[in-house]
Amino acid sequence: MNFDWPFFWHYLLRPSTAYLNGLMLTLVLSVVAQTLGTALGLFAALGRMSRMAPLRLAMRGYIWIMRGTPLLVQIVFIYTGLAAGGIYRFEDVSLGILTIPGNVQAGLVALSLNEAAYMAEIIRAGISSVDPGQTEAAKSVGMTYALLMRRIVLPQAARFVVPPLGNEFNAMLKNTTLVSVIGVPELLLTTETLTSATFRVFELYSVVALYYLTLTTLWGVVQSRIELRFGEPSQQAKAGSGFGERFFGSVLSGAVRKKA
Amino acid sequence: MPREQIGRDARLSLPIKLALPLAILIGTQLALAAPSSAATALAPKRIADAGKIVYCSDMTGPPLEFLDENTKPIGSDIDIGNEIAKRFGVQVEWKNIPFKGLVPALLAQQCDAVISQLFDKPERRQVIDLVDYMNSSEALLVRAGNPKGVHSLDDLSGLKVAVENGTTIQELIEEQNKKFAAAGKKPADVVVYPKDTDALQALQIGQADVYGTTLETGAYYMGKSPKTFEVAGPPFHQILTAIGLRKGDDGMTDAVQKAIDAMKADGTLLAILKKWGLEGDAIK
Amino acid sequence: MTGAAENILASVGGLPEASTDEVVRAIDVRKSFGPLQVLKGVSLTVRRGEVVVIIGASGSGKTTFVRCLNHLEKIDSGRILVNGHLIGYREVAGRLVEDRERNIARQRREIGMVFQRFNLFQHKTALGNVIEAPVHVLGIPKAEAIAMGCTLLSRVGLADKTDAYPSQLSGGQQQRVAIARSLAMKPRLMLFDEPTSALDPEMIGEVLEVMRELAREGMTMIVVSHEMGFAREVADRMVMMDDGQILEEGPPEQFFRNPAHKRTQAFLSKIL
Repeated sequence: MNFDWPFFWHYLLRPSTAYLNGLMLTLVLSVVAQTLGTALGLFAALGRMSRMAPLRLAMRGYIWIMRGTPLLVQIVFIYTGLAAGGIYRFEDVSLGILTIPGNVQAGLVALSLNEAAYMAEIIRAGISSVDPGQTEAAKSVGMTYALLMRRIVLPQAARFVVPPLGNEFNAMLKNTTLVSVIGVPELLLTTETLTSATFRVFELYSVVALYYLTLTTLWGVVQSRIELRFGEPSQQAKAGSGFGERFFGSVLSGAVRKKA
Repeated sequence: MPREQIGRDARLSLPIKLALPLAILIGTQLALAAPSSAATALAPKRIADAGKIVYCSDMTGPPLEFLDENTKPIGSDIDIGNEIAKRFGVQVEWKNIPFKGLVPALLAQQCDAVISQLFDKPERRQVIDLVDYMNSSEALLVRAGNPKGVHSLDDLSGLKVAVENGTTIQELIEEQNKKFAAAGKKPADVVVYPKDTDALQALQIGQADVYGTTLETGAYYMGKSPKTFEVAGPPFHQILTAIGLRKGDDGMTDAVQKAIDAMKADGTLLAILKKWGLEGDAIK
Repeated sequence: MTGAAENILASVGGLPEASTDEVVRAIDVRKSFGPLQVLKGVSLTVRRGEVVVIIGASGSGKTTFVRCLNHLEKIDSGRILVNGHLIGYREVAGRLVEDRERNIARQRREIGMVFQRFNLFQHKTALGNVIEAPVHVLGIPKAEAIAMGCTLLSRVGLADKTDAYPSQLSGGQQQRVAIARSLAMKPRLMLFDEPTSALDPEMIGEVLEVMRELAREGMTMIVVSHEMGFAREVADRMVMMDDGQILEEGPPEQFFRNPAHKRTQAFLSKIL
């Protein structure tokens, strides 16, 4: 085996500034896209259940398209396709000392819109899991739909949404690699640039794989903690089995999770 | 009556149905095997035995290597590679690999040689063998009219420059950025794309101000769409361009060097360059 | 239970003023679920302070009828007036048009409903359940609502359970919280859909105790139940439903001793 161990250790343990910037961008993209995606997903979920037919159909169409096309295609479409078609071009936006490049904006938009479609289905499933009796009781004390959703149903739906949401963030951390194709200097593109300069593919890809593994593993720990806090007393007892619990949990929510 | 006939026909054609694919298979094997008897003395043994030579190239660099509408590889490098294979007396296979992956693919033995406007650079010579066959230069392509007034690398401060990942122009601009930093100027914003055509497109639709590429490719696009593109300023960084080969690969380096020398001597190489408008790049 | 139920309605400021003497007036209510006709013309009038107990076999439509009274179920034809207002619908050129959600929600404030499965808000404490609607629907200041809620809960014998979550309460306790929750809105009518059917026998008593006290204090109540002892003691009128219609109704003594219909006799003989 031809593996330059000193090279590997150097890049693993002493990341350059460019590498750390790439890592930071990956994290920022993941967190912002997941947050926006969840918020938009809530709107889409509620819209999908609306009594107003145009809104309901529009949301179903949106969810169908975003879940039915590959994320990579969406990213290139939104950044390059729209610009090439003269429809919209993402320009750099300057906010004081910080400039947000056009491709980063486009990457965020694509990741968020895509995530929102998946979150919409997850949230819809979560809302359906809440006992309908809760809605009936809320109605019978005079609550309007909006009030009962906000005060009674959504808070209880959160319990069902948290585990799949955790899995979605795991996927998001890895999906950010796809925006490398529009030139966003996140962790993978930074690695690829380094590879082309040094030709050490095996070592550098091993390093970046370990970085992603570390990120997703750390998130996994956080995720278990959050699930414990949100769980019912019965779930909290089960959560003690740790790894096994997380495996079965992710198998059940696997249906709504996409591959990265 | 008709039913019986059909049945009989089916029975008759069944052996033919079985024999046909078999015949094709045998025929192909014979065809593939044929070249080893057609391989010349020039070809290294390994290539002669395989009956073919496999090249890696990044097919997004016209006019040296690119794809026509039928996604068939064409270009001056393609012609040169095919000519070498002819002189070896073997078949040719072209693999389309993104530029940054070319040397790794060669080292991983996924191809026998890299012909892809590969510049002869010392750090590359440490890893692979190089056989020079022409010159190349770098250039900056901008939108027609040169709205940002670019004439050289020095004018790139604060502009968005699109490049293909792994190219020398990418390095040159990054070197320039160090100079900008020392002089307190804003760096060029280098946007790295996986394919050269992505970088060109970025220029075309306004996502980049400048597209850093080779003179040969830049001139090609300017020739195709003079109303859209122009080469900004004079070409720079003229450099020898080489075929990449694995070190110690069964005399491949020698064989290819001999083939290139022969092609120079009998004028074939110059003819190919002329065909694609690149005679200016011939090694004197 | 800590102490007998007493002065429950005093904690919400007494019995609400009724605008009409007829609290409920249902006229020829019909409803189908798809091809199945569940209510085949039900008419019923309930006066202020009356306690009406509805009995019948499952599938007779009694639960569906009660759920129509606060528009948890839609009706196909007929009219339902609660507190003098047409409920769930507006009359437009002689036809029923479904009313706006806002209006229906407002009408429901005056109708309390107690469910077979309690339906307490799982993520709120007992007190939280009771004050939720007064604060967020009626806009009552939280401190005031808390004071009222504590009093209300103590009057139904749950003074020490104000901070308990539903999952920590027994069935009987949960149902009493549910009753308190409905009462906190000061309804003029209380609907009970088999309030003790999901309870273990030893807890039925404490819930019936509260209901008995409410009746004694003059609340207008419609109760779907199988608890005949309670019915006999508390009901002003019994209603027997069968196959989507009211078969028979009358004061309990006459009902139990001398039912007019054979089916009523048969039904009663099975459960008594």
